[in-house]
Amino acid sequence: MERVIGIDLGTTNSCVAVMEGDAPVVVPNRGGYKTTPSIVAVTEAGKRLVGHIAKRQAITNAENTVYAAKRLIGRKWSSPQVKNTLLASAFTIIEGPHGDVRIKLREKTFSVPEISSMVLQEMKVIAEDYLGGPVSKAVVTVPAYFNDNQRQATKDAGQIAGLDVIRIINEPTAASLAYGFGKGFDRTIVVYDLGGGTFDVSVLEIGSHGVFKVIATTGDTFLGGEDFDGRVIDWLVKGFHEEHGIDLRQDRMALQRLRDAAEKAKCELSSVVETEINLPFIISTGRNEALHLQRTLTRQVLEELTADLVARTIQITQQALQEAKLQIDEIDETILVGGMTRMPAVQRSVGKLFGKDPGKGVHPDEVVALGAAIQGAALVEERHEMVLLDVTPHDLGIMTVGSHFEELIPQNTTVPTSRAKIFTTSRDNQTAVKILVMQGESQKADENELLGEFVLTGLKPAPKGQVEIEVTFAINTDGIVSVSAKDMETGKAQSIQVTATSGLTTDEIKSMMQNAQEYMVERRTDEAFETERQRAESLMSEVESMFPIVERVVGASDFGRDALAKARSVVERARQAVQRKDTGAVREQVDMLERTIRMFRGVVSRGT
Amino acid sequence: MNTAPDATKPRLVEGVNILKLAIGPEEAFILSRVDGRSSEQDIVYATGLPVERVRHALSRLQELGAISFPGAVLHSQTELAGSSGIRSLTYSGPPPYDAAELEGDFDLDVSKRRLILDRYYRIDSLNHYDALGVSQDADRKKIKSAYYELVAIIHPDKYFGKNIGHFREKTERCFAHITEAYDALSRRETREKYDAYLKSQQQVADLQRALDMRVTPDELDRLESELMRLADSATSSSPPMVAEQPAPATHSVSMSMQNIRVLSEQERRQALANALRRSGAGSRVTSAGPSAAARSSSPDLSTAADGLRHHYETRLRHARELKLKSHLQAATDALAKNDPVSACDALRIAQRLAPDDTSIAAHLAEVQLLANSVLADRYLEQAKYEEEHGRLATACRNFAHAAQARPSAELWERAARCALQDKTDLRSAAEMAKKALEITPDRAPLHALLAEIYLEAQLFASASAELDRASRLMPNDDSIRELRRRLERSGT
Repeated sequence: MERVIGIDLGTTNSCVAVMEGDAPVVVPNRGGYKTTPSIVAVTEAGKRLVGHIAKRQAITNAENTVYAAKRLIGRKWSSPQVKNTLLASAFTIIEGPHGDVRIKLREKTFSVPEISSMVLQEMKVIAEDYLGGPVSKAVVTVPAYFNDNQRQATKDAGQIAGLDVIRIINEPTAASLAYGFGKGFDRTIVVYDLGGGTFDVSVLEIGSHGVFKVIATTGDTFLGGEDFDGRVIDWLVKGFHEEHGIDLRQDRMALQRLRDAAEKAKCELSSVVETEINLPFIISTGRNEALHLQRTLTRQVLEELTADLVARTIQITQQALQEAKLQIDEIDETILVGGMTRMPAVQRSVGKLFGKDPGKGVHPDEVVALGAAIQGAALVEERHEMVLLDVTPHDLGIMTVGSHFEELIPQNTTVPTSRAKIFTTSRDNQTAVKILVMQGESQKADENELLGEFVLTGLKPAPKGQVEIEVTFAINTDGIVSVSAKDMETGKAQSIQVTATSGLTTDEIKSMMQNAQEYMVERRTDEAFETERQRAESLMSEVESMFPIVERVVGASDFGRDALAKARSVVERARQAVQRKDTGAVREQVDMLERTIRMFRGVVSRGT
Repeated sequence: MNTAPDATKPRLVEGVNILKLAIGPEEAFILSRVDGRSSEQDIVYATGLPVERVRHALSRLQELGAISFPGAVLHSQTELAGSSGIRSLTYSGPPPYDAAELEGDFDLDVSKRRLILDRYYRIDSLNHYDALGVSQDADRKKIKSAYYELVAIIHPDKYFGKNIGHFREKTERCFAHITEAYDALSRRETREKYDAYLKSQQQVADLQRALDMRVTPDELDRLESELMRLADSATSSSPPMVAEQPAPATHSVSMSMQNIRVLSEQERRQALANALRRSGAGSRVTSAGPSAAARSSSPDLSTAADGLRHHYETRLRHARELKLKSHLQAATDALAKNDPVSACDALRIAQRLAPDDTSIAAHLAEVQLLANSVLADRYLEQAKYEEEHGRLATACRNFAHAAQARPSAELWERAARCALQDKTDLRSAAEMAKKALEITPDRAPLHALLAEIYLEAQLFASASAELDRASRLMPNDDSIRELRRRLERSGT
């Protein structure tokens, strides 16, 4: 059976895992790292770079390097979050054709799911290299607090990357799977997940029969490690401005260097109490001289700069407990997930809230991907006893008269679920009703996310208020919302599936898939060529190194001269094939070179 | 399991056509004794049949779907054939689905199909405890493990990527149902509320019955047989044990005196015959007919009969007095325990035993008033619970019941608000708001509410008139102004 991979598509780093027997394992990338930066870049030559290699060139190619695309996925151009990212990013963000967000890299425009698909494709390749065969199915994780549009956009990204995303699961939930899978626990736990860009808290029960039940989940999709970096950047920029009167934010390259330095300093301060930030030649004064940035950051200052961010996470955690209707002492364990939870101030605050130290033994960067792999295996293989009961992260409802949001399925309802409500017509002889399906917590419909709309037709003409329509909302385990409506009098029923939109049309997705496939073919060809080239070149030098001795042994004979001439031409042809980048021709010449070597060896052994 | 007492009392299944059942006279006889109150043992006594035969007939009747044992929810610990050791979590009684639904080429074994269908068609009739198959005193751990066990079978992910056809939708529905039950029962706060709701429901049923003047035939039978026993004991040498027998407080009995007199006479005759038989004074009166005995030509026998009858009647009167006393005492006790339902029942029996005693009638009227007020409280509790859980239509109904029992503007207003929110019956919403206004005609928010209802019902002229009244009473109110704006927007 084909294995399902689990991908943690993070804001800053991504990770892929597969099930090996009964235990999930993280697959390292070619560089040996277990996580890969979620960074995509396009070089001057138009070459696509993903991961560590993209991160390494980011400083010199800041405008064509995309960081944290996850912050933009599934968002509308008009959303305030996009405006924020716009200000803080070195790359160019423009409005897309459907009110969505597009990213411009070297004159080419990409949709956000497309950028994310590049990261997913990279994770797919890592897994394929490890498993030695093609992979087509995946479970991908998203922050628990993602809305349906963001989830759909993530699914689309998977599709573009050539992956059938069989399930989207929540990151904190995935973490709990990795923590409790196969251990036969009976516990109530809290997962505190502070990642690069998002913060999630989930309260779960783990019990018999491998059941994992999410009791409540809440979070903030715009609170994460990057905000902590931002505080350090602000501090550096402000200090530099006070000293030199220059605003480093105006210089994109300087900003990129600041970002890297801030992140590095923040990470270092998790293990040391003081670190040096040293950025020589950060900016030119314009008078032919360059300024350096050199400052010392202590853990204490960092904690002061970010105290309110940590406090906010604690406040959200308390809110989650409240929604779960649980007291602090009813929580058996706390699990910390996400790189940011390495920060001592975070561990301290969580420990203080629960009155005990957070649980050790899960790897904050890997646990989410491991959980995704477990869920993938449990879905397709019957032998794994595990059921995950997750909840809806947001209220689901419809817009009624006066732009009022009417909730039908409240947040933290376990899925699958369904709710019915009776509506009536508001005009005489009304034969159709338009229903706008929305998600969010605001009373005002326009502050919530529109998931879809549809029109119910064929109602019997009657005076207003006389037609009764029973509208049923259902959410299945895939998070797909379906709405059915029944005319109570005639019993006539209609139903429709509401698919959230990622801001891309089916055609666009198809064409993006095409591009991605072409890229893959190209990439695999490049890789194949590279392998052949290396073989050819080593054989060529071996053949050339044998020329003198062959010449000495048989150079005097016609046969010898002929053989040498032939060998020289083989080497020449091979060299040309390499220059032409013709993988097939190189492969042919590799054969010829090998034969030549065998012949030379024969000649040499007979001749001596 | 506190439902255990009922578990052994078979109950008739509604809507079963008895004529179509493949049963014999004995089973029919036994079936005729099934009234939801008699246990298997009671039926053994009532029919005089051996216990094995009664048991066999009852289980056959259950198989045929004619009767059910409502309390016995789960056949726990029974293994299902062909499944990997999962407990049978189906309910007793006949399958509530058409066997044809089990058919179909699906990737789902039959035991699971049965389980899912069995639950799916019972969803509306199961309370949260029944849904999880736990008793009402189960602790949180038990509830959790019962739920988790069910989840491991019912959750749709267990059938991921498989063709299970229409069962998918049904598993989803069943899953949502047990999850709703679990969510309510797994937190102390929500469970307390649910328990109160269940209890209140039970109380309302009791109260309704207490206030209801009709009497069911089986209650009549019960009273008669009780008096029979009294008469029997009166003729035998043992003293009547009436005083020690607690009054059947939960059985409301009220019937016309006409009935009781006719029946008592019959009993008396019967009892007399018994007594004569038992006295056995040399004469062998074998004919069972009591009149035959009375008309007997022998003067000795006649005198003896008169004496006995006199003796019997005195004893019966005595027994009645004792019984009256015990019921009055039961009423007093019940009132002391704040249980107007039982008090009502006891008083009603007392009244029937002493129909000429006006003080009992007055007392009964008083207690009925009290019961009414308790009923109003219970309705209110239920309405609040339902309102909280989004069951607006029933909440509205119960608020209205409460308001009927104890008229108050506030209750009518709440009922009206629920109806407005529910939007299904705006006409009743308006009626309820009007009832509230009858009580407090000058409350501006009530006028505003009525206006909003009219607005919702698109009756703009009426809405406008109500808004005028509201703003006259409260000129500078924002919500009234907002309604006015809404009216202007939709009115044009």
